[in-house]
Amino acid sequence: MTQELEKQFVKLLDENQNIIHKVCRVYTNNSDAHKDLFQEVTIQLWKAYPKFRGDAKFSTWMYRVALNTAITLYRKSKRRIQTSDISDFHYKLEYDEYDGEIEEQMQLLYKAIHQLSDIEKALILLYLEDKPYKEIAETMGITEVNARVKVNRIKTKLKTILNP
Amino acid sequence: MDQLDKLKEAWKSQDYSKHKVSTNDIYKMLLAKSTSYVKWIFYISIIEFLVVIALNLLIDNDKYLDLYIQMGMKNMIQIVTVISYLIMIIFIYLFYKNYRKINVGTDAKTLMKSILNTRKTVKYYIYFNLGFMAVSSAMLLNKIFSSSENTTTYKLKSQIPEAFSDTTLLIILSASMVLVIGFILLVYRIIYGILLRRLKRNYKELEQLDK
Repeated sequence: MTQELEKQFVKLLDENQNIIHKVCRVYTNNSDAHKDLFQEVTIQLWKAYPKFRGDAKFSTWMYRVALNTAITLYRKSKRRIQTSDISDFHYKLEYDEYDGEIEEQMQLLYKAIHQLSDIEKALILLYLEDKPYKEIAETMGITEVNARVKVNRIKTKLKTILNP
Repeated sequence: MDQLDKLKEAWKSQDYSKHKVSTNDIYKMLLAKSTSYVKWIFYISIIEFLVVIALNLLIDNDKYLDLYIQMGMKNMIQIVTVISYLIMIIFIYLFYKNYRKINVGTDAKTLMKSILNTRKTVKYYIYFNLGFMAVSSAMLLNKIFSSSENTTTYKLKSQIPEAFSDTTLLIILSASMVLVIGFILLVYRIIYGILLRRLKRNYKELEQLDK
């Protein structure tokens, strides 16, 4: 039963792991911290998985757990797993693989995002992911109206940072 | 299309396939230990409860028991001890209840609130103990200095020379009591402040959003 659950969980996580990468990319600025946060999010998801009742989409629930981990639970640590292919894993998370114009734009955007507060980072990430305001509000625990107002304010703030 | 809309398009076109973590590594991660903040909160809280219990055991040692008996305080000390243990059990139960409510799958604000509530239980327990310490010390001092007989008994027991004036003794004892409680309170406030700084800041920011 546990093995079956584990298999099911790993499959779902594997299919949606981009979500965790995006959260890690927003909340960390080097590959070591990225790996560390990725691991902590994975552990938190696995620990909380038995409580996941399926009344929300797995991906929606994943955003919640990943953001909660990044904002509230994560503490920097060096205690990462020592896998045999750790160097390979390290390589996979380097950020130098975007190309050309997109890379330049994205670097600018990430630089601007890194200047935001923890809460603002979560809100802008959900906005960039095209999440409806209702979902953004439910993920953060605020009202839909305030989510909309705040996202607009952050957008203005980002524009100011991007165009000094 | 403004700059942010264009960037949103670029954001969506990000390719993470090169960063993909293998399922093999995911399995390994499931076995790794969490370094979660909640885990720290839990351990620190347990340590706080243990420290209070240890202090209770140290203070209630036999050395002073016969002094209390001589001063006619035996019944009171016993009642107070029973009450303090009952209150400790209540606090530990409340702490556990609040701790169990922490759910990482809930919204950000509820999660932060539940962690803060869990910490609050421990904080109130510490404050309760400091208050308790202040009141019982004041009562003890009152009893010691209520009669010259008790004062002499106390001096004898604590190996304080008889010539030492009662007023000086009272001032020294009261000042040390205030200093000890003040010091514990200060250290506790600093540790508590450092531990919860980020969480409180984020919670406040979310609360501000809904005002």
